[in-house]
Amino acid sequence: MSKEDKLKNYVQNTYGELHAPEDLRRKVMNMDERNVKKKEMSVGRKLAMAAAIAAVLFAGSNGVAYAMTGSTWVETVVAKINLNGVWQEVEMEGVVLEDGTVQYSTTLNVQDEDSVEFVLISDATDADSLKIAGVGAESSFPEVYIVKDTSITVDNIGVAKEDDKVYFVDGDIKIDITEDMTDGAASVSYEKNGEIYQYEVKEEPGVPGCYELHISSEE
Amino acid sequence: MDTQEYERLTEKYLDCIYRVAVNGCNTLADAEDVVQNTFVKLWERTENFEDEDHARKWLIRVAVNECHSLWRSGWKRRTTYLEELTEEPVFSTPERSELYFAVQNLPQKYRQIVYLYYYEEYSIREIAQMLKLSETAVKSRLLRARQKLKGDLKEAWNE
Repeated sequence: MSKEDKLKNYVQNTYGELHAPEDLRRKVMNMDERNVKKKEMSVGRKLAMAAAIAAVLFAGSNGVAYAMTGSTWVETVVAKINLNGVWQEVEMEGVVLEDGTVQYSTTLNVQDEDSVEFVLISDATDADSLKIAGVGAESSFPEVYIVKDTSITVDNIGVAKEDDKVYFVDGDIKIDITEDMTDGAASVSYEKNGEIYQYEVKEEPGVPGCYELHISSEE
Repeated sequence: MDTQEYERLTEKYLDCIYRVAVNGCNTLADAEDVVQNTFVKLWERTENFEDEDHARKWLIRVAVNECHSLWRSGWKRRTTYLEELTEEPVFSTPERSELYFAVQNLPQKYRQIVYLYYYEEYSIREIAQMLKLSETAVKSRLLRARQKLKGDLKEAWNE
């Protein structure tokens, strides 16, 4: 038997022993309409707030994410948060609010507490206007230090809709992602100028025409 | 989707999707979330599948996308509880346990390819189509995964 066949047997024997737990099986098998609604509600549940003193420091990001509404691009920022003396790097996702501002938020675990949620409000075009929003008014809100303007301009990359089809577009490159987007998300990989690019595309739930794109580089 | 068809597909593919999710997540709790979200989408699907292969590939692709969504979600990564991190599946032999943890120690983007190639026996082309990657990218990731596993499983590899 070749080493390749041996590895295959090894993987098949191992993963053949890995089964979905019985309680998960029960939950999934009983996925009636009532359970689906319950699941949707649980996703949007509000996490408990905890008082915490922290400092937030914005830094550059290796994997930069963008949300697009119309022609406006907003990145997801990576922040360094000093929570009770411990620095943590967190990704803060931007959500476009009705008034056009962007809300960045993240939630961290705190020892002996449920969680603490950090919410930042920023004008999409002005990183300097970042400030802490008034969620959990009883909390002591962290200071915000901006050390780097993280706004990045991306030209001609986006999602286009034509004749009921959805396309990922990068300049002259146009990739049909219609089928994948029926699931709400797609991954595309392509070569341009000798470089391989890979993007993850996700439709923002409840916001028609709004997509979130993440770029990840190939090794 | 009608209940009978949903139950048939769930019975048939639940373990497969669970394994895809385990390979795409860092904790079993996250994997269970991915499985539930995947089957919610199956339940909500209104179109019929062309055949069994279409259904299986669709479920795998949805599960992979759900795993990616989880990775994209910064707060989710930071709200993992300690007990979730220490949860581990149990295998019948130490060798199988060793292989499982060696695969789990691979970068996330290699793990699903190893599983789809060696367990589900999909071809490089099929994996590339499912994961929306180039065939070259799948081949190079598989090669790197093999090299890493070879290093981590020296004894078993050379037996």
